[in-house]
Amino acid sequence: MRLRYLAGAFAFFLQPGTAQSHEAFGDLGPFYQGLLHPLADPAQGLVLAGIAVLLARQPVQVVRPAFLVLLLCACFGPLIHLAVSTPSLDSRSAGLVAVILGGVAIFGIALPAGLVAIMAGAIALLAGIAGDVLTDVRSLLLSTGGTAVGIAIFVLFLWAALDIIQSRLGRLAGAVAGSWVVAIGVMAAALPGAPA
Amino acid sequence: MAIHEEDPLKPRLFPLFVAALFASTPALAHSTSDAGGGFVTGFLHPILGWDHVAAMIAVGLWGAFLGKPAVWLLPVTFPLVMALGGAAGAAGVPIPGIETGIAASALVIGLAVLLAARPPLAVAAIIVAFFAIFHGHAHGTEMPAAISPLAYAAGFVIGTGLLHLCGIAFGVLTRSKAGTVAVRSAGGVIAAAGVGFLTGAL
Repeated sequence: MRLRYLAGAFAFFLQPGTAQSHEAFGDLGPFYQGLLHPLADPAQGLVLAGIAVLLARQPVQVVRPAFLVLLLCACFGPLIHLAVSTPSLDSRSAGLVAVILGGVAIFGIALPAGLVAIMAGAIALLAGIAGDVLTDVRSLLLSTGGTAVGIAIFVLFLWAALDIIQSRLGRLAGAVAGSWVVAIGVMAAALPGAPA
Repeated sequence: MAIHEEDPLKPRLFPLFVAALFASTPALAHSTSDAGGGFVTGFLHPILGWDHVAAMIAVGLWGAFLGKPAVWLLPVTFPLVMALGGAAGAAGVPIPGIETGIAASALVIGLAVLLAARPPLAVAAIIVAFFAIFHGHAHGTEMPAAISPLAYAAGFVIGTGLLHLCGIAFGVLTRSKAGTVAVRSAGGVIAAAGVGFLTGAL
């Protein structure tokens, strides 16, 4: 009987507090930190969402080479960041870039494949250079791989989702997504100096 | 099994167990990051405010009622102009009668749906854009105080857009006669709610 009371008291001490088994963006290692950057940093996520919406408004023949360039540039971003210690993407710059990308997407202007590829590459570089500077080779490689995969998955998923929605609801559904990107960009640009 | 059947402590331990449940705090496997917190706050801001919900649904309903291209033009116009209001709110630029404007948006757009008003596309867009400023300002004033202002902005734009889509989805019912009656009735309910918001009854 006493033993049971003792067990009850012991169980009382074991009542759970806030058990944080995973810090979502804590020390996950360089690969996963790079992978989650588009989600952890709203400024990065915004410009990547902008290019995904723009790609969704372009023909698939234009999207294929642009996506390859995006992937390559996403790999180079962390390396450039290491060589030239570039500043991270601030909310005002991200907002202005998003306004341009979303604006082009709203009107659904068909752009030359080369221009779209350059834009995709530039956005991937912008998103890739954000992050901590890593000095050891292993961390740098893991971070680079994670960043490239994260950017690729984020853009590909958003592009695919929009493409499916447009095929079912009509091309103008993409314009709605473009207007969302512009709206967020306008407000981001109106917050100078604010953290993303 | 016999132990459970004959256990005299069971009735006494059960309240202790219940008390322990109430004493415990939730076990959260994943803590939210700053960006996540900001996004959720922004996302819930239009959804948890009935005046915002009524007006946003009405915009979608009216767009569906007007047909193409209004069904997409209105949800494109609204966030674009709302962003200007949001930026003004974030910058601390005062706009008079914000709450009145939001309440009036539910009344006016609700009435437009109820009366099946079909003005020229530009007029419909201007009406929606006018009211979007008030909604944007209301959201934007809370933006600088958010954990992550940019994530907050993304949250409330997406939340607002999804409410428009809900309205459009409901508005698809206008393809049938009975559905048209249902949609127009919904417009009437929204307009009545707008009166309630204006008078302070709701």
